[in-house]
Formats: sequence, structure tokens, C-alpha cells
Amino acid sequence: MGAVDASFTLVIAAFERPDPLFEALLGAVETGLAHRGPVHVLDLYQLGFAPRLSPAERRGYHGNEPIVDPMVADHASLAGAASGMVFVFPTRWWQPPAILKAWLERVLVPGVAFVFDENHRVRPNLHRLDLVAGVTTYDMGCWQVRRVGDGSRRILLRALRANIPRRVKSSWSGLFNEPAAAPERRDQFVAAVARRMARL
Amino acid sequence: MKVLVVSCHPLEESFSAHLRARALRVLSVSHDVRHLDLYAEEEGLDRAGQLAWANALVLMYPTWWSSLPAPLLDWIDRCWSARHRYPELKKIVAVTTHGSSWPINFVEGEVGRRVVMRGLGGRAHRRCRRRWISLYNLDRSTEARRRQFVEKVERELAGLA
Repeated sequence: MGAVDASFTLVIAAFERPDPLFEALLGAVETGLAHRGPVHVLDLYQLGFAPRLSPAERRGYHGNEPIVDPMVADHASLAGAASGMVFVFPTRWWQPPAILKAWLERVLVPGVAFVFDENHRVRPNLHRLDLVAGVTTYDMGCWQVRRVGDGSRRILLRALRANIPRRVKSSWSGLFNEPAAAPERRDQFVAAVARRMARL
Repeated sequence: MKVLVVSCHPLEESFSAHLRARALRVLSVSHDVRHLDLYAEEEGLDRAGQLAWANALVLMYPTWWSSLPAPLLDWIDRCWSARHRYPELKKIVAVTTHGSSWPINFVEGEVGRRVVMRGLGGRAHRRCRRRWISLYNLDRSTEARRRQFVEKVERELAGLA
């Protein structure tokens, strides 16, 4: 990885527009993170990111060519060079949207997020990351999320963070029961996210 | 029983596809089986109708990033209604493979298992029976272990009731 690259934060946005709340959240994240240096946004729906791992990608997964799509190759080089990853997306059914899950499956492949050692064990490979953060809304209340477990948070703050070879900063912001949230609660949430990002 | 099998793997030559073929054969001996292959891209299917029809749901998929593959998440998002229950659904079986070992999945929090067993299971019939059949460490498994797992899946599904 070229050490000359300036440090930047990668923001992965996975929400469908128009969505006033998420557009405001993405704005708050971008401005809040500006103190860390440049911010690069990947807006997965706007990019038309394919929401599934293709047969060719799966065939290459355990070989030498897990990446066949040029857009995925771009995203993978950004992911390898970024100093932070911040995910902005709605959680439905305790899970990130399919398009974001597909981003993990297609972009964070062997050689990018991790490498296989000689015993075919996974070894972490995201050496440059020092921050992983999530900003999300839930389609249900806190109690219902806790009953099943917060899948989005576990995937990003545990499974993804396991691919970073040291302990790094993490941050999680969630708005429970988004469909029933009053405008004031939404505004408060956006303001809280902006403050949280500015402290990272 | 009316059994809906939902499978999700991109490769026809994969272990998952082999497992799926064996499972479908065993199930169709004594049940009315419908199969939804999320990688087949069939048009015009009434997926929500299929789900409402079923008494038993069998999900067959590889666990990636601790959870279900993206097309399966998309299927849940589109077909399951967030505010309704599925009282006709009395049995849920998940058959899955994990590339990594059990301890790694435990630490990561078994996201897929929780969503299927507690999440979807919680929306089914109140006494819905749930069965989790999984193979860990597929990436470093032996031929014998895989064969044993196929036999286990066949046994379990043959006794589905």
C-alpha cells in the first residue's frame, strides 16, 4: 500500500433517495468528519452497486482473483487505503440492507480485508484503519432489537473489526423505532450524530 | 407438509448446491415441496404468496460475514411483512455452512442464527419449532466431514414433521 496517500475517511452510504432523514445524516457525517481530513463518500444506490456476489466473483474467491468488476476494484483500493470507515444505512429486520451486505461480501475479499495463511486461517489485513463507525435507524423499538440481537452492529463492530490487526476506535449511533419518530427526535438524532462525528 | 425451500448460492458446482439437491430429494419423498433459488432470477414469482402458503420453511445458505448472504436479506426485506405474524408456519430449519470455526462465529455474535431463529422464528406460529443445522470450518474441512454433514442434513429433513 502506497504510504504517500493522504489519510482519508471512507463513508459508505446505503439508503434510497429521496430520504430527508438520511440525506441530513449523511451531511452531518461528512461535515462532522472533516476534521479528520478528506472524506470520500460511496453512495451505493446512486452508483448502482450490484447487490449480490456474482458466480465469477465466488469462483475467484479462494483463488487469486476475487475481484472481477472495475467498480469493486476501485472500492477495494479505497477500502485498503482509508484510515476510517463510516457506514450510514437503515437497519431492517436486525440487518443492514442487502446492498451494504453485498458490499462487504464483494469488496472486503481475501487480499483486501484479510488474507489466508498457509493453514487457510483468516489473518486481518486492514492495517490502515483506526476508526469504524455506524450510523443507523431501526424499524423497531429498542426492546425488539435487543431480543434478537443487533445484527448490523455485530457485523460491523465485531465481524468487520476482527479484520483490523489492532484495537481501533469504534462508534455507533442508532435511532430506534424510526417509523414512529417525531420530527424533533429526528432532528435531535441528526444533531447528536454531527457532535459524535466531530469528536472522533 | 407444505415445505418452502429457499436456497442461496451463486455456484452450481458448490457444496451448498450439492447439499440442496440432496435435501430437495429427501423432502419431496413425503412432502409438498416448493423451491425458491434466489440466484435463479425467475421472473413473476409470487414470493410473498409462497411464504404465506408454507407450513415449513427450510433455508439453505452459506454464512458470510457472520450473517445471511445479501440476496437472502433482500428476500426477507421484501417478502416478510414487518407487522404480521405467520401462524401457518410451524417449522423453520436453517442449513448453513461457515467458512470459519465455531469460536470465531461465537465472538462475532452468530448474527445469521439470531435473525433466523429468534427473529423470523418469533414471527411464525407461537409454537413454531426451530432447528439449526450447521457445519463450521468448511474452508478446512475434510471430505469425510462434509459427507457426514450431508448425511446429517438428510436424516434431519427425512424426519421433518
